[in-house]
Amino acid sequence: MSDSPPAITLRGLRKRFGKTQAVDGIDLDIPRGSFYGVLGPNGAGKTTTLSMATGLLTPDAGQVLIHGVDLWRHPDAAKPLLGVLPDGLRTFDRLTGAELISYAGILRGVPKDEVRARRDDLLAALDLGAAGSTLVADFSAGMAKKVGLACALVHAPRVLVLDEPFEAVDPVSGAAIRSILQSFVASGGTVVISSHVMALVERLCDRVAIVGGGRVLAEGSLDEVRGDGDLERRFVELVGEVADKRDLAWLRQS
Amino acid sequence: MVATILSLRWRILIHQFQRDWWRLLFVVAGLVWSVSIVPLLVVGSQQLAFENIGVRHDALVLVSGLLGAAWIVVPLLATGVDDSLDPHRFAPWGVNVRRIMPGLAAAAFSTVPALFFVAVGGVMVSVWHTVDGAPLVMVLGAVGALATVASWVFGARVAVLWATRALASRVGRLLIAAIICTAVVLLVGAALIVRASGLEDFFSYEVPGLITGWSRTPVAAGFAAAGMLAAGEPYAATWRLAIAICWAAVLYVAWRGEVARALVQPVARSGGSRRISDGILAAVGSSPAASAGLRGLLFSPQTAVIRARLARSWATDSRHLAQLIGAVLFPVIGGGMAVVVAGGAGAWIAALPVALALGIGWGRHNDLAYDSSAIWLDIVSGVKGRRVLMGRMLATSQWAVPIVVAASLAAAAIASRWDVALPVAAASIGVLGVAYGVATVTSVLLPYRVPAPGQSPFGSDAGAIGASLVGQAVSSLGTGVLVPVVAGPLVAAFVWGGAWWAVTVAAGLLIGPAAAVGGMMLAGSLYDQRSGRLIGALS
Repeated sequence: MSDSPPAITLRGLRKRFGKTQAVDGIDLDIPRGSFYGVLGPNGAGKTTTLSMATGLLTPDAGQVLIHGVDLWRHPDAAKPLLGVLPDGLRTFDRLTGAELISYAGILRGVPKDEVRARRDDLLAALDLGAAGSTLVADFSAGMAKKVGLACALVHAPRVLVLDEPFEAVDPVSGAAIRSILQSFVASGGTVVISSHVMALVERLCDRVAIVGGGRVLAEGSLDEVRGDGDLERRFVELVGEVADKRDLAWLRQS
Repeated sequence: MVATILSLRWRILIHQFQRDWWRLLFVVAGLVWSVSIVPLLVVGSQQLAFENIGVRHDALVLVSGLLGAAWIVVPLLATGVDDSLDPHRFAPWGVNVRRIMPGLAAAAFSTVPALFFVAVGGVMVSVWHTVDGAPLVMVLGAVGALATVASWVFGARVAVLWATRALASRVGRLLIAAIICTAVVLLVGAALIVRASGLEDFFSYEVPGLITGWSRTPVAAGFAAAGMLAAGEPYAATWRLAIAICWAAVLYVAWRGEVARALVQPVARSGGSRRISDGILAAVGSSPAASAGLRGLLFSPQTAVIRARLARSWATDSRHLAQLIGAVLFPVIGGGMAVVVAGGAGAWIAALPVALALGIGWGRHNDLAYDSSAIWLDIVSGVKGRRVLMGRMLATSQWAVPIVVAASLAAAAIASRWDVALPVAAASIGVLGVAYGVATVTSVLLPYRVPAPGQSPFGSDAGAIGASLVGQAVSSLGTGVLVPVVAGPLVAAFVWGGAWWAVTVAAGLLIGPAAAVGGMMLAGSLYDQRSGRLIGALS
């Protein structure tokens, strides 16, 4: 087990957009079977890093290995290992929820009958019964998130990379998703999530990386990173507090 | 509020130009073109100023009618309307329609086309400076011209908002289809009547009557009013001016109504329609595994589901429907004019399906962009680009090939030349294939932003015209170089006949599909190489 490569290895990953260095040399090893949290303030480079780690964005420099396979050199071998839920991207909105899951399954090479069975399982497990026959165009944000997660799961990948998977999801569905992901990790899968919700990360993740300014500021097991305090305090220490704590006196009602 | 909205619009434009500075070059080019054409208009109007009053009146009515039609048709079928101040964007701020409308109107008049056509209106009015009582006639003409230009600007907004709403519902789509069919039937009927009576008779006897009738409509009355006053008919001039002003007011009220609606109602996406059956799974064949080569590409499950997804978009997505209608209508209108001009000559009629095929194929040069950032699902799934693009090509072929073949048969029927039906159909399919082959490569190499899913299909990014021009220019160049290979034999056949007819059929049916597949293969390789850059380019 110790000889097997990590689920995801990032080496020297860089990305620049115009004058902005979004990702500035990120190195990470995400162990197999871990529930890994990527934390960072807005604009820290989390989404850019995850996009490069999943084949959605070409890095300027660096290497991405999925179970030891170079994603950008051998995408045919690496992409089937990944299940991906990006944040802030559109979805094919003329399909129903059920059709979108079927579409993802067929694209991933799952046989038709197997796709049908898995589609129905996922719709039930994620409480998407009504969404199955509703066009994605009419979905709420939470429904879109859940059906996106179903698309990431349908081919039973070995690594799940989920950008803000609990955003806009109601508590009941959130509990169902947590249960699915924890069960996936317990069976040997790897989950990487990005989130701003510290309590959620502390509850779910066994390892975390805090990213700021396109770099890794801290990385390790949850206990190693948060030390004696809680994760939120450690996060604020690393990324810094809001510099100008201006008093909005005009906002007070009396 | 007017100053706030105008300032907002300028700030949006400045930010866009700071982000993509090169777009400014195209705006400057548009301004230079607009300014450079003014001297020509001035010279033309000066010459017209010395014609008799009736000629001047008829010329202005005719020109204003054509420009009015262009203000409706062009935004719907070609460039769209600058949507930087889309009223939907103001919905979260709780702005009252009464406060926002003056600002939106001022912004609508501050665009380059609106300012240019105000200048054009002024130049057109100057033809009256030589008549008796010129000052009064020109003042009346200026008021009529301003009312007419206002009706063009408001009319374009109303047409786009109504068409957007209509395309979003099934009933609306049926209504639009009925209107288009009626218009095409009327156009063809009119063309046949013109052909039967002859062009000379048409221009001598029919056109003057049409112009007189047209000058009494709200659309042309504004420019007709000054002519009536110059002809010594003040009452006719007054009521023409009145209906022109009322027409502009009616269109403003209609636009205001649409804005008020947009401020309180979100964009209808699908009308809440539901689908019980899984159309995606149904599209996948029962064969367990795809074979290698072209056959594997054609029949792979991935190709099947991508084709099914795109076929759904072509049938229900208003952005795709607007493209389809535009691709078909332009050549049909052009064909109607060809019938009038050519009087039924076979070679000219044959140009209709060829032009139709060219328009459909060339128009797909930005096909990929209509998926917007949703293509992430295709990309992370690791599907090979060739399968993605084969699926897209099959979805387009599903409607394009039948339309091109039907147009070829219709052209043969109109020209009474059934002997050329097969060669014309073959050449048209050849042109469709070649143009599509070039376009599919361009769509991967040079995509540019289009209205995103759920947005108005007639919206146009302020300044986006530059990027689109680059894509269109490259696609046009490639198409212009390669299309003669399949269209040339048809021309030769009409000129020399003989074996050229057989060559036309062979070239069309062999080279066209081969070019489409070849272009798709090349585009597929480029897609694989560029997959990590596509989302950034499309969103």
